[in-house]
Amino acid sequence: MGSSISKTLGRLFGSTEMKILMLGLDNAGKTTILYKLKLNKIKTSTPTVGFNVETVSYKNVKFNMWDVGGQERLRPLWRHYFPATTALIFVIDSSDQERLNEAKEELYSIISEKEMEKVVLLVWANKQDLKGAMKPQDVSSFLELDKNLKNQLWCVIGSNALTGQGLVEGLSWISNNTAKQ
Amino acid sequence: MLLRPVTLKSERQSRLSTKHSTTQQHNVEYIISAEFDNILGPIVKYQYPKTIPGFKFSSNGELSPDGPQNIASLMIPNNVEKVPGKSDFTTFILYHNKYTQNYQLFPPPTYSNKASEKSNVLATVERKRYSIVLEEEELESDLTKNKKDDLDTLFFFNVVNTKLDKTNDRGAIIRSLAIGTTLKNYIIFKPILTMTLDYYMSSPRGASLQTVIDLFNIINSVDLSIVTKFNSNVGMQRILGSITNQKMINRIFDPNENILKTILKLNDLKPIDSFGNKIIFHEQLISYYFTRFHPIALPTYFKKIPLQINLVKSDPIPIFTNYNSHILKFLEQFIPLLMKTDMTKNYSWKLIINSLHETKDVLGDFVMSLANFVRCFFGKDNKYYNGQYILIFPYMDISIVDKLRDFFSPISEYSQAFAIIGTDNPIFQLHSDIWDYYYDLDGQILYDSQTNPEKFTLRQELKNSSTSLKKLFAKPYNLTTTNSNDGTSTGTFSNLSLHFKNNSINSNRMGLMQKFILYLMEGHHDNETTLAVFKRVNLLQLVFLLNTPKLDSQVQQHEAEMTLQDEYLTTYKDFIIFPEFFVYSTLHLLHLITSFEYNLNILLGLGDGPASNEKKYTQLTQILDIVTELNLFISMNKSNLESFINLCFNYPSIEICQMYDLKKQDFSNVNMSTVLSLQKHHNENVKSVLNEVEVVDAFIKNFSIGLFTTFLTQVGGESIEKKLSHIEPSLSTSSKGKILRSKSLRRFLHMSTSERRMSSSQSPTVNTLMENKITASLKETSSTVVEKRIQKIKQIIIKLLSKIEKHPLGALLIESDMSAKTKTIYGNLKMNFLPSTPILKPSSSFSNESPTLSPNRSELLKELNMIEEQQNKFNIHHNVGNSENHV
Ligand SMILES: Nc1nc2c(ncn2[C@@H]2O[C@H](COP(=O)(O)OP(=O)(O)O)[C@@H](O)[C@H]2O)c(=O)[nH]1
Ligand SMILES: [Mg+2]
Repeated sequence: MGSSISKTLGRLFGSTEMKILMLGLDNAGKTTILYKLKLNKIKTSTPTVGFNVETVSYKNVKFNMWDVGGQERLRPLWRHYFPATTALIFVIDSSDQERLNEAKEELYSIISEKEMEKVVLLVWANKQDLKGAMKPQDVSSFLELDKNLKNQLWCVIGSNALTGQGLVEGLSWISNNTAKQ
Repeated sequence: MLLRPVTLKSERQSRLSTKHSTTQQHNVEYIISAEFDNILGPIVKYQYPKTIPGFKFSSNGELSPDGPQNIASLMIPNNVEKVPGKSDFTTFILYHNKYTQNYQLFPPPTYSNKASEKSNVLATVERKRYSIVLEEEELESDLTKNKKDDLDTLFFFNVVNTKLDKTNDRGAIIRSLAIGTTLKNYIIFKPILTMTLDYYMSSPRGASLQTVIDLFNIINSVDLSIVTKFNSNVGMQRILGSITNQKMINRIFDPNENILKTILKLNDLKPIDSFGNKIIFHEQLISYYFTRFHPIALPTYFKKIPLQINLVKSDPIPIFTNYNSHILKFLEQFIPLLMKTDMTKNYSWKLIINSLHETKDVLGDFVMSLANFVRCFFGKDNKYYNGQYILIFPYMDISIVDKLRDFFSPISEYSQAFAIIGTDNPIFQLHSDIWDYYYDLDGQILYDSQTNPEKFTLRQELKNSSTSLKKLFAKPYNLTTTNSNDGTSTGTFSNLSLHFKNNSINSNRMGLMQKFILYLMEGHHDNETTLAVFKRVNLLQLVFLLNTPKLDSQVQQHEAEMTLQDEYLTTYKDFIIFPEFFVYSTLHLLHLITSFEYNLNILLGLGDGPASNEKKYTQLTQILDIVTELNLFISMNKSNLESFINLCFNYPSIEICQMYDLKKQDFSNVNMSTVLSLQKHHNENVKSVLNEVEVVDAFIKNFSIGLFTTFLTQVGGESIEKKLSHIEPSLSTSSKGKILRSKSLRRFLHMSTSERRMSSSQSPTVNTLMENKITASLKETSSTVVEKRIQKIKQIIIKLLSKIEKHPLGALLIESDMSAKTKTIYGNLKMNFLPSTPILKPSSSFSNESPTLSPNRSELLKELNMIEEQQNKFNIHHNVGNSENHV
């Protein structure tokens, strides 16, 4: 069994904790990402009923990562998970271009909430391995974050949850950009 | 074979209308099915036989605040997808709102100004201590309320499962079925519900409305009226719930004995119900077979699996959990926190129990156990402290959190309500505005919002405090007094009474409840034992409370408004309470029996000889008053008699009250083994050195009947005592030297016996006057007068005991609590005092094992003659009031 990323990258000193909220439409790959990070395994054969929460250690940071189900009727519940969030990760299925606009709308409705105005935002343009997947740059320009997010740190990173590509980069970006907190 | 639902429904209705009387309820009122929709999330699929009022799908697809998605989220709980193939269970409760005519997830407002009404009434109530108690009817009003109201509260019991399925585009199907019923023992449907869901999920044809209809019909095809009748016999259930001896329970339900028939007032236990279904009685279980049901969708093997129901209902909501697994551990942490709270302000708390890893079933049972410890769902309203409601929500999803906030909003009448809520989502910890205590069941960490606001961590590095338990038992406790002399001299108790010197209340103290929780945990006792211990601690603390003045702070804060139950909670703060002890009848009986114990001990401590006759006489007069009143009171009605029998099954010796100030004592360093072994003079089975397990067993031994028989065997007619002292070591001399040191207790007990005669009973001058009068009138108190009085008391005790014996469960109490020799004495005295009693028919079925009643009349005569002879030898005239009583 391969050692998990959290172990490989290890904890060095006393670690700080931060709460990370991972949202996105259903089927975007949130749960796959979470367990790839946690266990370095692909564990998803079912949709998420409710949420998953796991602690993933990276460098000297313990990420309490919350992955909340993205089905239509679960989305109104996302706001209950906002308190004490340091970073928001929004996962997009880059190959599902039909629902890209739906995803964008949901993203904006989250970050327009007062409670979320201080969080840093990471977008994972997931499923980069699939044919017809939009490139991270295209996803980024589609989302128009540069235009709309003036006071918030944000970043779009391409990812493949099955191989883990892009995941560590994402966490690394978060920990580098939240160091002061 | 496929009939349309409409046809089926009318068929059922026609059958029900002929077989059910019109007032009869269904066993189940609703069936709901829900599933996880890959696009939408949890949705309700079917509701049968109709949509629950208030849970309609809105036509425009919009989500109304009380829409069905709310219950869907409770039926498809979080993380079920992680354990495919494993059924899990959730419970939720729907409350009927009279004004909207809808059901809702939270109790509706009562729209009455009850609070102000209540305080007015109470302010005018006289300031007598236990005049402010619930009346029996108030407590059990759910039995008398009319049928319509019975649908006020519906319990929904839900089973959910996940099945991996490659053909599903997200790889799994997740479905659930819930039954909605008024029955509090809804847990009986667990097997059939689970089986139906399996079928509903596994068979391609299964997931149809017809399966739901069949489930509804099969459950309603049996007539549970025997169960309902039995369960609603509150007096009886209370006693059954107090019996810890499984053998005794088995006997009650033994078809060869007549007890069950007597209780149910049936001539015969028929093997079929009124619909013609087969039923089998086995121990305390009754099994219904669905003989008459003809399933359409469900496979026929369903008919072979019986519905099994436990006729003993020791908890308001029966559950399967062993208290020892989690609950005691929680209480061990929770009670010390409550001890620190200031209950003089608007006091209430909201508790969240969260578990990510346990099943929802375990979680729900946990919440229900706690609800049972404060006797929720026992009466009509779930009131806990200061008239405030206590909300029980066994499983709550985050989607309901806003409704919870509304429920508690400052403008709501429930703003000061208590709450116990089960959740499976640590996000609730971040919503710290809605809880005062948050318990992480997985890590066994209890958070207090006062000291730990916003503290959020998933680490469970905090070690729980269980190791302290080990230390506690390891520590040798030096109770200096007990080893030196075996409890026979007065010195023992005077030394122990030093504990009363501690005057300030230490909020870090360990109370008696907490102390016994540690013993219960250590000994891994079963639920019956746990409840028995809790009840006894409750009673002891109640006795102590009644016998001491109110704390100043309480008097100031609450004036006369405080009910006894509130006063109890304010004093002990140890969460657990049994309101059945706080009703007038039980309190009165408790007064009497504790007074009896107290006065008996004094009497036994008096020396022999004519000098002590005056004192004896005074003491005997007290005792005579007590037993007379006791006898009158239990003769008044069946309910009083049953209250008394129940009390007898739970009565602990009040000795601990005499040794410790239960309001203030810190029990952390008290070794209960030492304390309880001092009781061995009451009960021969108590060893002098007890280990942790034995401590609990010794504590729950019954003392009550022994108290009365002690009088029969040890008082008067010295010969009896001498003759029998070797037989009943439990009742022998060791109790004689006892002198009670607790002044307050003495005052209380004196008061209780004399207060019926005098209005200002607590005035010491009046007491003195009375005693003087007695003394004056008996300048020459002779042995004869004393002996007369003794015989009078014995006669009443015999009457009392034989009344208990006439009750089928009372007979068991007497039988189990009396030794063979005591039974002989009792039998003889009964012949002596109650000659009209049919000798061999005390309660037919017990005579076979009981040596109590010698069938041989000449033997009895011989026995009596012997006793008389002995008495003559000691020159005590055996003068039994009227001589016809002699055989
Ligand atoms: N090809 C591919 N499939 C992915 C990737 N990430 C997730 N998936 C698949 O997408 C589906 C939904 O993933 P899941 O993690 O359950 O999505 P969630 O609803 O956002 O939690 C699953 O079948 C995953 O195996 C990815 O990067 N590439
Ligand atoms: Mg998921």
